[in-house]
Amino acid sequence: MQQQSLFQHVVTQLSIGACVVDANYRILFWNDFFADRLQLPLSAVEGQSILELFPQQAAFLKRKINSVFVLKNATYSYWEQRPAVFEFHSSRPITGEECQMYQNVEIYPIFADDNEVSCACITVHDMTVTASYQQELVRLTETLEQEKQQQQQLILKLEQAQNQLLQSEKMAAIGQLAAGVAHEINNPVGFIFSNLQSLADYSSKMLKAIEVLGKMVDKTAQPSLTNLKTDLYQRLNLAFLLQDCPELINESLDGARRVMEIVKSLKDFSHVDSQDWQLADVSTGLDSTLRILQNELKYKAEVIKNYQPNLPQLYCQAMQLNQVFMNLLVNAAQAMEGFGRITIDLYQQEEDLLVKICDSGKGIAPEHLKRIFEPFFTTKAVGEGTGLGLSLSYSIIHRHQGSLQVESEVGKGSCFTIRLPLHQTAAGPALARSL
Amino acid sequence: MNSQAAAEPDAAEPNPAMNELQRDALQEVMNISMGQAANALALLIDIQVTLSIPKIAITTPQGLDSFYQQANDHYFARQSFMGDLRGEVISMISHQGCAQLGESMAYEQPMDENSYDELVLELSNILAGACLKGMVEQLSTRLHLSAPALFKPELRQDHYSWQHALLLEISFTIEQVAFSSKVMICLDEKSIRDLQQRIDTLLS
Repeated sequence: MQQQSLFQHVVTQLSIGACVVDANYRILFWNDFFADRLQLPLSAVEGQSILELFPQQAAFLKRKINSVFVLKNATYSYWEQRPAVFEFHSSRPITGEECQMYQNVEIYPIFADDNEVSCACITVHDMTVTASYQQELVRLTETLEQEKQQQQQLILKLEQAQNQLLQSEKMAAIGQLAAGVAHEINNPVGFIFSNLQSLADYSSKMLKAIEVLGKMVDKTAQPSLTNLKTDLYQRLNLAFLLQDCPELINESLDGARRVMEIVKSLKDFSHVDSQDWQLADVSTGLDSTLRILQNELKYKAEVIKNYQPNLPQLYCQAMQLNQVFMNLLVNAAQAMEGFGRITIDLYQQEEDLLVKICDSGKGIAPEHLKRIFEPFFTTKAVGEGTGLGLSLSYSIIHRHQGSLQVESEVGKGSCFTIRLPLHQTAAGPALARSL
Repeated sequence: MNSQAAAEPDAAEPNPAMNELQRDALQEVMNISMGQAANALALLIDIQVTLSIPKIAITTPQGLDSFYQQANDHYFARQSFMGDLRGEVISMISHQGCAQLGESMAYEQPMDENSYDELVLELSNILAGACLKGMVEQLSTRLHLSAPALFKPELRQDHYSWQHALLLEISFTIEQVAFSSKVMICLDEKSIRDLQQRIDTLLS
């Protein structure tokens, strides 16, 4: 076989598309790859402009072919950026999902003897298989990524749920302990208190008697008696006793009172309360609490109220809610350094009532934030406060099937948000009792 | 961006085996080639292109790293060449100016991510092709440049099989659109010797 026809056979039957055009984009040659796919033999297209045969990509082809003639260097196009330059149907019409062939195209110059470009050769590589795999890989990666995200969210939710469960178990355990202790202490402290009150009465009477008797002795002006009296008083250090006795008894009464307050807080915290459930206006409760705290707050902060008008009434334990408000407001006042601001927002959000109490106080450190609802947790000095206020509030809100959350930034302030559902299930209070 | 001010690899020591004469000759070859490249580009995009004086240096893998640090505001592409000389051309193309270039090169508007990729590949191909063509013509070498590919420096490997390579570095800027690019022709160690032979042939 002649060299010429050997090459012709090779090129004609190549599994790569080969098409040669001149400087005016006219087709000089194309091989079977092109002919078969377009059902147009070379004889039908020889001399025609390739731009007319492929009008969709005419602008692109023109630009690329020009650059080859001008720059005298090869130029390329890839399926990733431009899936198909030539509109061939997919080479996999039965099993493939794609409708078109994916192509890599190269256009390179063919030089004449005078080193000028005589024509440009366009080669087309069928990249459908590769492209298909790539796209499948991308799809798979995206799916995996989505699943990973979903799993991460699930893990987060599980962690949160676990934390909540631990928290409520802790609270329940502490609650039971508190109830037990409170009960045991209650009786003895009760009679200590009442005994002390009697003691106060008796001792004041006795001291009075001694005083009067002393004066009577003085009145006799008999040295034998008055000397005895002075001597006795001195030996017994009676002047001091007269002064110290009432003080001791008062301090003890104070102590007993404090213990009784703590016991009451513990009982409140742990017991389901005998308070009645009723429909009430939360705004009224807030206002009456503010009235009680008027003196406390007036030198500590400016109070700003934002109550949404015409809010529905809430089925609740009004006294308990007021106690929560009081706790939060007192905490807010105590957090102030200098004169600050307390904002109270009351509004409805879908099926919930929201009460937001924000202060401009010194804020809560991040490491404490997790613990503030823990019973007995307090950052105050020993003897100041029981550390039960917030855990009690948390418990009350939960009994109302609501939630109590806090946001805080050291140096900026804190914000407590109470969310109370307006429509509780019929089993609401009973369910809450079990918490 | 003033490409001249970019961090220079600490590899300015001349190749001990390449003497002064050879260096000068290579510099001259480069100057001419690059001039042709700038003209070629200007023909195609019809905007004025400025180029720097080509730099010749021996580089190490770490030396190339200093270019990769600019991956935040540059595209990278690479193209292999082989024949009488073997190596790769790494192109660094600024994000800045690409939108305008795309427009003047009649890319379909608006341009999406694929269009920018196409543009970077085309620009790299044009610059690399033009630079090598000049060298091929003057040194009478045979070189075949293969297709360019986008290159993500942040995904590059840590260890390389080579220690030294010859780096021919040219910057192309188009002030009008604040576009800047660097073409870095890297020849492997064996090719450095072949290149020297060809320069000697040219000089004689």
